[in-house]
Amino acid sequence: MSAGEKEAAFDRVYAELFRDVYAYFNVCFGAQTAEDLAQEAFLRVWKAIDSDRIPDNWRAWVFRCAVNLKNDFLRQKYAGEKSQTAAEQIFSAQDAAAVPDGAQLSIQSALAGLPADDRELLTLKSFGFTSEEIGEFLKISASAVRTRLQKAKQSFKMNLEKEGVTDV
Amino acid sequence: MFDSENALKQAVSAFHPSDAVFARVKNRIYNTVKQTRSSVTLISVNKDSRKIFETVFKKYDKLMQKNCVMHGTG
Repeated sequence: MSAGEKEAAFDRVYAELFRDVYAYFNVCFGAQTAEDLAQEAFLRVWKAIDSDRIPDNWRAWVFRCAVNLKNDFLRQKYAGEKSQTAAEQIFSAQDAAAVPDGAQLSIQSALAGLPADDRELLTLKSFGFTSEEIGEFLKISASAVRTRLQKAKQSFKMNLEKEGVTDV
Repeated sequence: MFDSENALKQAVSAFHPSDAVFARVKNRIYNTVKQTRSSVTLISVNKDSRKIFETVFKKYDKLMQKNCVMHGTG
């Protein structure tokens, strides 16, 4: 591939996936960390394109990379602590200003109020990944994903009810 | 009717980046890529720089060999 073709290939992947990858990190850690980690994820995309290592499925490739980056970040920052606790500390430390005003607020608060693992699962699910794919990213079985998703959805629904959202 | 899938999509969409963040991160990535490319060009094109690097590498190599002999690992 020529340099121009590489840039065009990168631009396509970036345009298609950056928003979702950023949202994944934002749901996990908040806006500031999301920007840094999303940048790192797409630098890896660039390196893959630059060395002609083009995966069959960019979406799965990028999210596998994103989950690994998230795990590495938690390991580095909070070595020895339980990862979920660490994620909560980072997320709650972020400004809730990422949450907009208006009708969206209650729905978003219902998601933000869930434990980190539930938020992560539900976010990946909302991007259309199957339980098998999510299981592969998180290194757990598909049936475990389904069980945890069911509980997470239930908690999300309860939070929505607490926020007074009954009609979506 | 209550649709938790739809509510979930709405909730996650609120965490998407602004256009400014989208553009800023892309610019940072391209700047990083450019910096990496220019440093590679310096080594491969500039003869004077290459001579300096070769001299440094030779000295480093000699030091490493000496170090290995001293510690009995070479």
